[in-house]
Parts: sequence; structure tokens; C-alpha cells
Amino acid sequence: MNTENPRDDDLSTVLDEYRVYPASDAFYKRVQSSVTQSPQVANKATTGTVASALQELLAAIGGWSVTGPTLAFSFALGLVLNPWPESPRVSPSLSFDNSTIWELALLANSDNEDESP
Amino acid sequence: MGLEALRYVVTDTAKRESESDTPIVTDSELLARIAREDHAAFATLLKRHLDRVLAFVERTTGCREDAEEIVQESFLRVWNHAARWDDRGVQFSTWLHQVALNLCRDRWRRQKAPAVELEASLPDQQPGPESQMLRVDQSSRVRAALLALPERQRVAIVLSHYQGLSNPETAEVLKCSVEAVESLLGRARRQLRKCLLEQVPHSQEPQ
Repeated sequence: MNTENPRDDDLSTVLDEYRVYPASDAFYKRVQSSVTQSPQVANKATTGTVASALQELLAAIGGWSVTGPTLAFSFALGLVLNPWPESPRVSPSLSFDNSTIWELALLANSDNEDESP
Repeated sequence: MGLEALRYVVTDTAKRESESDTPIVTDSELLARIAREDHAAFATLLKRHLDRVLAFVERTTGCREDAEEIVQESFLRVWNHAARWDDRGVQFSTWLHQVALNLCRDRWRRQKAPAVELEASLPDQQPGPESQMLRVDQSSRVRAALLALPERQRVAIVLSHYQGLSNPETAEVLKCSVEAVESLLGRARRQLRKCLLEQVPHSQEPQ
């Protein structure tokens, strides 16, 4: 800080005469509301919500230092073990096909009725 | 140091902050919460810094209306850039002064020159009309003298005298060396002394 001499004290006293009003409550509220009404903020709100939610989730499960190796290990394990083998080509069970059989039977009956005199 | 002026602003800021029930937290903590869209944290930060930065901009520009617009824009930037805030090396209040000063400079570039208003703006604390008239006159003289200074000298004296910033902090805001700040302050004080103290009032001039 500069060394102050008596002359500077005089100057400081004069400078202190220049006072300004503190912020009014109306101005305080205006600044606060401008933050919520700004288009930049609206844009930030839509993109920020998803981004911050993902960030919070990532932080909650330990951050990238934990999540990164875990995901890589899981992927490698999936490639090696292949836990989803090809689905066996078997015929559908009878219980699954019951309705179709009944419908065919009904159709057959109706055909016979049409043919009857 | 402008203790009287500083006390005036700080007292009002403290009063505002004590009115809320928010516990005392650091600016960095508040900014981290603002980055997560916390409006209560923004309100606390606003209460803490609004009066101080408004006083800085008003004394630098000499115009209350301009000052309010600049301060509003400054706090909007705080809200938008809170996620990128990194408190290593610089205090939030210093950064806020920097933002406000940059906005002042943008405005001066558009207007080509700082606005000069000689109408005084004083708190209504004077005892009588005569005393009030003298104070209004004195306030106008100081404001005119400040506005007559070159921009960097004016900013240096406002930051140092009214805002109470140290020379390194003032250097941080002005983006220059501490020696340059000392030089700016020395020249500003000499000029102000010449304008405000060595000027003989008309009533005391020999006839």
C-alpha cells in the first residue's frame, strides 16, 4: 500500500464526501429475476439439467476413475464369455400354440357348415 | 483508505446478509452451488457483493443508470459462468470487479467517452439544508474531479480508496504490475489534490 502523508489524509477526507446509495430492494429483485428470465439461462437450464444429472450420477458412483475401468472390464468380459448364446431353434410349445389350434378347428367347423346343404 | 465510504457500504451489506438465515459459506462454495442452478446461493452471493460492486461501477462511470445495467450484466455472467469458476489464484470479488470493469470499457467504447453527470447522488443523512447543499456541492466536485482523470487512474483510485483493494488486487483487476498501480495512484492523487485541495473557493478569493 502506498505510504500516506498528512496531505493524503486531507485528500481522503475530501474523497469520502463522494458517497453513493446502496442498491435498492427493487434493483436487487431485478437482478435476481433477470437471471431466471434470461434466454441464456433458459438454454443453460435445458442443457444443464441433463448434464448436471449425469455428472451427479457419475460422481455418486465414484467418478470416471472407477466407472471407466469398470465399464472396460465389463465389455471385455462380455466379449470373452459371450453370456448371450444364440437362441435355440425349437418349435413353439403346444401350450403357446393352443389358441391357434382352436382357431383352426373353428375355421374347419365353419367351412363344413358352409358346405352342408 | 476511504474508511468512511467503505464502512457505509459494508454496513449496509452486512445488514442485508444478516437479514437472511443462510449460514456463512465461502464465495467458492456458493459458486459451486450456483453451477447446480441453486437460486438461494445466487441470492446470498448477490446480497454479499451487490452494494460493493455497484458503488465501484457508479464511481467509475459517474452514472447510476449505467452502473445498474452493468452490474446486472455482471451478475448474469456470474450465473452463466459459475460452473467454470476456479478459485485458484484470484478472489471472487477481484474477478467480479474485473468483469464489471470490462463491461464499463465496452460501454465507453460504444459511447466514445465516459458519461459525465454532475447531478449529485447522496444518501439523505445530512442534518440541515445548508449542510446538505455544501455536501452536494462537495460530492459533485469530487465526482467531476474523478471523471476528469484518465480512465486507468480513475479506476485505480476508486479500487484503492473506495473499494479498499490492496495494490496487488488492484493490479490484478487492471492487469498490470504493482509498480504500475503505485504510479497510477500517485498521479491520480496529485491530480485530485490539485483539483480539490489547492483550488481556492471563489468566496475566499481576494477582491
